[in-house]
Amino acid sequence: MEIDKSLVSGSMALLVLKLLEDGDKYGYQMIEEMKRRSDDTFHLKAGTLYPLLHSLEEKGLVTAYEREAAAGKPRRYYHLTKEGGAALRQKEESWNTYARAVGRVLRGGACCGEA
Amino acid sequence: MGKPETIRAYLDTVQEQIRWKRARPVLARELEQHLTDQRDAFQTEGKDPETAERLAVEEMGDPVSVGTELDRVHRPKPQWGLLLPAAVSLCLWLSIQIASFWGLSSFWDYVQQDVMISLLALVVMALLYLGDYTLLGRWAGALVALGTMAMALIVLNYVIQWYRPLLYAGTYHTQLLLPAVVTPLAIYRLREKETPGLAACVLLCLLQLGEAVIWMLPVVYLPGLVCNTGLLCLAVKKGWFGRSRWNWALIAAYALTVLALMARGGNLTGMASRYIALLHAGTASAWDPRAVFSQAKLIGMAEGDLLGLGESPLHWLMGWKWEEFLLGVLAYFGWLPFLALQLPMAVLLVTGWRKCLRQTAVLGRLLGTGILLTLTWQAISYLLQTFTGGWNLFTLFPYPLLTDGGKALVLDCALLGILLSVFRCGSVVWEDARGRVFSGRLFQFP
Repeated sequence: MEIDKSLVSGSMALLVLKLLEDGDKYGYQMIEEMKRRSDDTFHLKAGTLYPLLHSLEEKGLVTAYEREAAAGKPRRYYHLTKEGGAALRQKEESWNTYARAVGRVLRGGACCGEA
Repeated sequence: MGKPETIRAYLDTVQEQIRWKRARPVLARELEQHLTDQRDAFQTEGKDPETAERLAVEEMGDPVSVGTELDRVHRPKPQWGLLLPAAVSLCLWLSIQIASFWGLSSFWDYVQQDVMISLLALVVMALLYLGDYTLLGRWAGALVALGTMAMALIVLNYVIQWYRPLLYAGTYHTQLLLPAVVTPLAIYRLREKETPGLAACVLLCLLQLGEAVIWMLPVVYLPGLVCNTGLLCLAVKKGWFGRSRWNWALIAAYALTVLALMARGGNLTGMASRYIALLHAGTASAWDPRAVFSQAKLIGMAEGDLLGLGESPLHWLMGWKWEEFLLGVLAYFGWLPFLALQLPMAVLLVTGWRKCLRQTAVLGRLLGTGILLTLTWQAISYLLQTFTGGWNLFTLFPYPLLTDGGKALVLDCALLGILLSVFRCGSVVWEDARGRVFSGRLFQFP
């Protein structure tokens, strides 16, 4: 099923930060990992990813360094900073609140005992 | 215009959208790495090379919108937070200088001279600010050799008394310039050579002390001791010289050697006893800073002749000496002017350190740390001297951009220019896996 792009774009920073939570990655790796984790639902364009990564770096949420990847090819790795980790937790919390609220609306409103 | 079908054409289109030329090659490098990965993946799936490259380019997205987005993120950072306090400091310096010459017959000659010095300092700062600091990294080896040779010549000149005007001229200022710029460049050049590289850096730091011998005052060793030790600690902590346990021992050996050299001159004992005397008596000078602090008003002149000069504020201002300046401001004008005069430098140092700690490029971090350590040491040691009255116990150097003479002002502005260039270009200075910086240009304009 085709996903409405506007649904994804607002949460892109959250997804990218989440990808870096379990280790440093370079751009191509992140796109592949995103495809895998979303069961091929999210096809993140590289042209969207790099400007986003650079703006996150500008805000100090990630840092970047170059290292040789497999086969000796140099790649620019991104690393989640302490500030990035804190921002990720905050974004996750906001997203969960938002998703719960959307779910409640779609189900016809809050009912007894629901958190 | 048709859609690009090759990696080269795609990257060219992206780069055309980026206005800051300095940013273009580094951004293109990362995109190229991604495109080749994608092309190789398509080829592994069985596509022929041409089709694989075309598909990789298609996957990347519209080059114009990618370039436009990157252009939005990567603009030169003008650093107003540092430029503004630096400009205010320069204006303050000029105003204080002019006030000190007020009423003299050659007043206009002095004003003309100081305006020229300020302009020279401003031009030096602007040129370095607009320049590309990574060139210092490219010529690091040559610059370290040049700095060491210049210092050796000054010492030699002192020993053989060959050229008298230069006996003391270079010494004073190179003691600040060497730890601020030459030590960071030496560390940058020799890093990744493990412990022998660190040993060579320590040796260079010790060679810098050659000049201090001329002054016969242990206090001259202190900026080198503080700044060089700080820089070496940063390098070892970051693992730039490997993880050998001997690295910390080498730094300790450097610090102990400097202290031993200070003691060897016979002055360290005298200096220590003066520090102890300060703790007990509260002052080592004719002036009593404690009396000034306790009686200074919020604004206006304190009661009594605290400085023992018996002068009006204007008379004092006309003949102030650099080492008594801030204490005099406190006694004659009060706490608010005392603090206001230091506000630009405080803003500059706090903002500078915050930005420096976020630098990821090794060269930028080293130069930023070296320069900020030097300026911070200048300010703190001057204040320690002011608070204790321990003249020549903490520093022989002026408060940066405030009580500077002409040469010191130009030197401090040059250091600030390099610092501004580090922060301005920081986001597009990328180093490869071996720590080499990508190409730079002499002058970079937005």
